[in-house]
Amino acid sequence: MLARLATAALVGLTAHPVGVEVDIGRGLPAVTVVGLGGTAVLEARDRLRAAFGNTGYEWPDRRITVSLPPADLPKQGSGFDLPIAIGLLAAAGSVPPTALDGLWAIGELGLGGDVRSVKGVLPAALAARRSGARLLVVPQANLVEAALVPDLRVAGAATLGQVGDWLAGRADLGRPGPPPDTPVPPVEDLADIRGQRQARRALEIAAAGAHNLLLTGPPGAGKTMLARRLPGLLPPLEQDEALEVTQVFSAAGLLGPDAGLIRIRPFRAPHHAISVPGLVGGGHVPRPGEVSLANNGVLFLDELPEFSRSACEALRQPLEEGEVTVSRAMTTVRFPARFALVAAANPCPCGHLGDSRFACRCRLYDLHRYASRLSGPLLDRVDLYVQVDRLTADELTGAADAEPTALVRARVLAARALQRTRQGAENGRLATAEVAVHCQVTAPARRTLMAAVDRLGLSARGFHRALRVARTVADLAGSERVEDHHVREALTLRHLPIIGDREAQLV
Amino acid sequence: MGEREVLLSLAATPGPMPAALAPRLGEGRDPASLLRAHSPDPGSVAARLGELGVRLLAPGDEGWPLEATPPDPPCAWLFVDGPAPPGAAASVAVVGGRRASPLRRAAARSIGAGLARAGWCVVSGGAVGVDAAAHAGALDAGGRTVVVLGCGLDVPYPRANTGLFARVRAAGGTLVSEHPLATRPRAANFLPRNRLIAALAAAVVVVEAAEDSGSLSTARAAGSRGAGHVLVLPGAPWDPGAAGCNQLIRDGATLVRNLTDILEELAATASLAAAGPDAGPGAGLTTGPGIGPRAWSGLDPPARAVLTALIDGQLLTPGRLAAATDLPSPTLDAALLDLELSGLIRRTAAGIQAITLPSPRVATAPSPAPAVTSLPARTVPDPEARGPPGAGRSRRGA
Repeated sequence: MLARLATAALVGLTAHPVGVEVDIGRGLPAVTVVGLGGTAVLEARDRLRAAFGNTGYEWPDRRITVSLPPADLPKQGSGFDLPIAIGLLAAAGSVPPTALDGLWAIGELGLGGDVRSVKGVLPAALAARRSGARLLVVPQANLVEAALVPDLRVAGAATLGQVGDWLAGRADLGRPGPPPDTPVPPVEDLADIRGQRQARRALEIAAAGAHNLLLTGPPGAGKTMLARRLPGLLPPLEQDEALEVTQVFSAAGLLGPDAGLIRIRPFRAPHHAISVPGLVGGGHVPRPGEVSLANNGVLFLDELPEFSRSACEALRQPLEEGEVTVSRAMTTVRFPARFALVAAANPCPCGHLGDSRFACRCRLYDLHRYASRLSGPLLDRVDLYVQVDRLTADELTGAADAEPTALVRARVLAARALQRTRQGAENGRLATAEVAVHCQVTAPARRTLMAAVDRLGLSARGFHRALRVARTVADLAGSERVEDHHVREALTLRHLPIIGDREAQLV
Repeated sequence: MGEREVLLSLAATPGPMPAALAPRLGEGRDPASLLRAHSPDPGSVAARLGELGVRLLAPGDEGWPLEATPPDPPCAWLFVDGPAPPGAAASVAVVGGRRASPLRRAAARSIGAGLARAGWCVVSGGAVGVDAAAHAGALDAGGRTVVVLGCGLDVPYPRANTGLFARVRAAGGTLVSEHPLATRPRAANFLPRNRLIAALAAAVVVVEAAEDSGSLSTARAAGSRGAGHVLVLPGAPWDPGAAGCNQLIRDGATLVRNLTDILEELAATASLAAAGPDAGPGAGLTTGPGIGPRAWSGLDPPARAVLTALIDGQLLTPGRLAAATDLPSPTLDAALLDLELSGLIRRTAAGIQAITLPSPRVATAPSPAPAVTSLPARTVPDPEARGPPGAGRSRRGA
């Protein structure tokens, strides 16, 4: 007897339809799985046998062949357990074959017959809808996630016995309730921050113009606290952005049980010891890295100089293209990686250069080495540079004077609307040629810029950076023209060397 | 082996500190008995020295500069690259730290130049920071300068100053060292080196000295000859770069405020007639009298407030500066950018520092020598002086 149904195999972020064909034929008892199944797929045999036994089903002691077409697509993971089990029950004759028409299933089986949650249910559900599935059966814990896809019937199974009863028409599976109306969790508010006026302003500009940001300051100055406030300043997630974020988290297996749509922008803060695959994605079976988990959100790199050079190199493609490509022998996978970068660094290796409370103990040589590590390709993509100070006791105990996130976000949204009508993209994403077109400045502003080139050693890159930032400052002020004071504010947020090298070198 | 050959071989022997060997020679030990198994052959040493144009000077030789002012512990020989140093009677040492503030480095440069114009040879240690500034100042003024190294004369250390050393040689200056060729710059070499700097000069001008700094050891070595030999630029009590300076003054060293003070003191202590007050114009220093924030008539009040807060030369973060000046942030940012664009302050990721202070405009008396009174604020160093392309590589990423 032959039974056919369908499931999905995750390749990167997208799930590909995979058929599940189960045949029980004559011959010595054996189970063969064909179709490029990985280790976890082949181990399904043992899990299935135990799950059948512990559910009280008789294991068909005949020759069982399971095929997973297309045969040339590699398949990984334990999500094939449930569809194979359904196919076995059908092929053993306890279910009419027509019951499996248009049926999709995904899920892992425990030895006790329980159906366990798997990763990638949301991409699988999207694939099922694209293929016109009649019904998708998922683990009960993934039901909310699967129900995110509109126009698709889904059902949740908690045990194999439940599935068997449903196939025999004795009971129904769990059906999704109305979409849970989870309130958007409150964001961390800018009003919690005391002092740090310039840093707060830089966050506003970064949010308004999609500029990347570097915070320097001694340990404990509140760099992380500031960075955490950026997601709340960005515009709310659109429906398709939210779906994309949820999809990445699903593919990475980071969605908790009963997790619905992710409604807030992600904030990812990987540790500086992270490997390159951990950062940009990779692995034998490509899985998304931190840059993709930060997609549509904020990637925070604390202690930037401690990240390996190769990790910083690897960030280049996502920063420039908004996605990462992971190439493997069998597949090439693209992950979305469009994020706002916030990096933080101590001013020197010991962290106390310029600190009023502790003397800096670094040798000049160490400062130079540190400075060279704090330059390079990554910082070429950073527009805004802010020094963050340790707060004084007065500031710590004084009244909170900061504007709340909601107020700042309103300005950010207005500035973003201006940019969309003018150029269709955020200022931070303008190419050099576009900067010349959209960032025209007034004559006094140009004079200030030229003076900066002359006296402050502003490079060509720094010049364009200042123009982009000044454009955003003007947009925040609702000004069509970029005036002198906009440029001046942009210049106070420019890249500063760690040490005044020329003087340190010679005199 | 003749006496000279033995000395050559002994001086070129790597290992024992020269400063430790000299007293034993002084006790009348036979130099030959101090030779080691690995002491090099005098012939090859002489050949290598000849190749580099380096001589070995010993007490009694013509041009031995330490006859009148023997250091303690004594010095048994000097490797000399260039003409023999003029000795204490005609030299002044200028010392300070490697990480001195820009203002103090500018002061060192100005003092180096002023001393050179007054006919003094400027002695220092060739380190980055104040030392380099003092040497460069002397060269700017076309004067003589002596660099006392703590490593072998053929070891390019500090690398950033190799260009400066080339400039010293080209200008007829001298590099000296107690250490054999190829000696690495070990930390232990520098304290003995400092006693040589003190011994080679009539007085030591301490431009900057943090607590427990090398400048302090040089000053103390000079101070053993009398308090009048240590001239110190004071600083604010809370300026870490002046902690050693103020300590020296408290211990009896002579406080100097400007070049005039220095030249006056030198005339009093030294026998060199050329160092009389009429030898050079009284080049003013920022620390000179009458320079207060009220004299900076060309600046608006916020800019004056910022410069006043930075007057000790310390590094302040924008937040500290805001607290010190009590200026609202937008005003402060505007003032900072104006000051930066006028080249008066410097911003780094670590904070803000004054580079120079504007010269005061005294309405009644026109400044006698404007070119000299103002600090070399925008001095563009000779391309040569920036060091080789590798050493002076700019890491300014902007």
